[in-house]
Amino acid sequence: MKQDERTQRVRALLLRNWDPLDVSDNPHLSNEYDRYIPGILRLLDSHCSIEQMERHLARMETEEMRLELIPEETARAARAVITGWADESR
Amino acid sequence: MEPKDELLQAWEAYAHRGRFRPAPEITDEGLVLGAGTFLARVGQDERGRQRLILDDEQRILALLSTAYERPVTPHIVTKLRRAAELWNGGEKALAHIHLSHARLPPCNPMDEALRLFVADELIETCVAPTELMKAQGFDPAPLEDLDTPLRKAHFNPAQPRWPAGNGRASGEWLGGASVTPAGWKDFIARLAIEAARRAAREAARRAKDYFAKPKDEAAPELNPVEGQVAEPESTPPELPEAGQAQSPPKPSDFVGQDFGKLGVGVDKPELNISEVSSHAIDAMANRDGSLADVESTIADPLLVLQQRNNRYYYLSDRAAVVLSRRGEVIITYPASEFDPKVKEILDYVHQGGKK
Repeated sequence: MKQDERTQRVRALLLRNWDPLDVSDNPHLSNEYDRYIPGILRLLDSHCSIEQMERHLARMETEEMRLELIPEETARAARAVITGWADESR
Repeated sequence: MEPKDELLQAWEAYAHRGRFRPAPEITDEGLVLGAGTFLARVGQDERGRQRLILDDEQRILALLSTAYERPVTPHIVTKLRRAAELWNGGEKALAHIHLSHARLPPCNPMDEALRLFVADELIETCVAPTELMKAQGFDPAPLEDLDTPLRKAHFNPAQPRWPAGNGRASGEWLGGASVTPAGWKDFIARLAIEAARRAAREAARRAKDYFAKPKDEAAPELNPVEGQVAEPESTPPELPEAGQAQSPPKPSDFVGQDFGKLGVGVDKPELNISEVSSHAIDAMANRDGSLADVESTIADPLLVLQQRNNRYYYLSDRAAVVLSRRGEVIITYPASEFDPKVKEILDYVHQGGKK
């Protein structure tokens, strides 16, 4: 898979499954989470656990975005991102 | 009374006086952190203009190092200087962006804020910032390298003082035999533990009182800033008849109205920008729009929606800004990036709530 395609897929996964800022309905903001894609790709490439992904997403939410964490939502998003990536990579 | 108890009493009185700030914020009075501890004060220059003055940077570093229990890099001072320059130049939002770049960890009430308060009291009572650093095992050299002269911390009228005529000179609690310079670190730690115990006892007492009330007694009103999403009202707000003079739309016109995923209308909360998240800074750098638009949207929104997770969505014709309940800018985007749904809401707002 080409790098550009990988980036597009992670972008779509994040908007569909994570979207902590609730911006996925706005096409102008489809690049809202692009700054997090490289870090998430590194984790996916290293075959991280769901817990590792959850910690990473939680850090982005609390430290980068200053959101209050909703742990169950972050856990659900982490699971969906990892399983979604695995499904698409088959 | 033990010196420790006197200081704790002062802390408890002080900590309940006003708004708590987990991140540094510049107000009209100065640069504030925690339970109202001033890192620097606003004064007047020779032309009578209000100026945030960082005239004791050694004190600031010693305060922050004590609060966070580790030496704070002098690089922070550079950020604070820049923030002060911007604030003094009228660039308030930009000043807070630079404050956020200082990346100070959150200041929690029972930990950092209490230590900050105690450190301020110690310096107020003639402890030199370098001595305070040494007493905690921190290298004071970075303070000595700062190019500002060491000066005794100035009196802070906003803080509680021991009452005059009580037979004790200000600072006597520090000069007592039970607290020596070598024991300051331990003293601060003991204070923190004792304060936590007292807070826990107080919380338990309040909880007991609350649950002891009869079931049909009206529940205490929740502070909207602490935040639960407001329930939509059963009837829409009354609108002026056609032909009547109409005032421009304002958030209070739409309180309780449900705008779906974007949130529920609330009156404009009393929030100021306390910090701009890294995410928002990055987004602002890559989008059109200006800081002035962000500031004016927060100051004068057409609509404010309370969103899930204690967020507030401010909307004007110029921009949308999402603030946390602590006043942190989470995300902002200009009018050029409004989607059709937001444009439709703006039309609705401008028509006074008529579809």
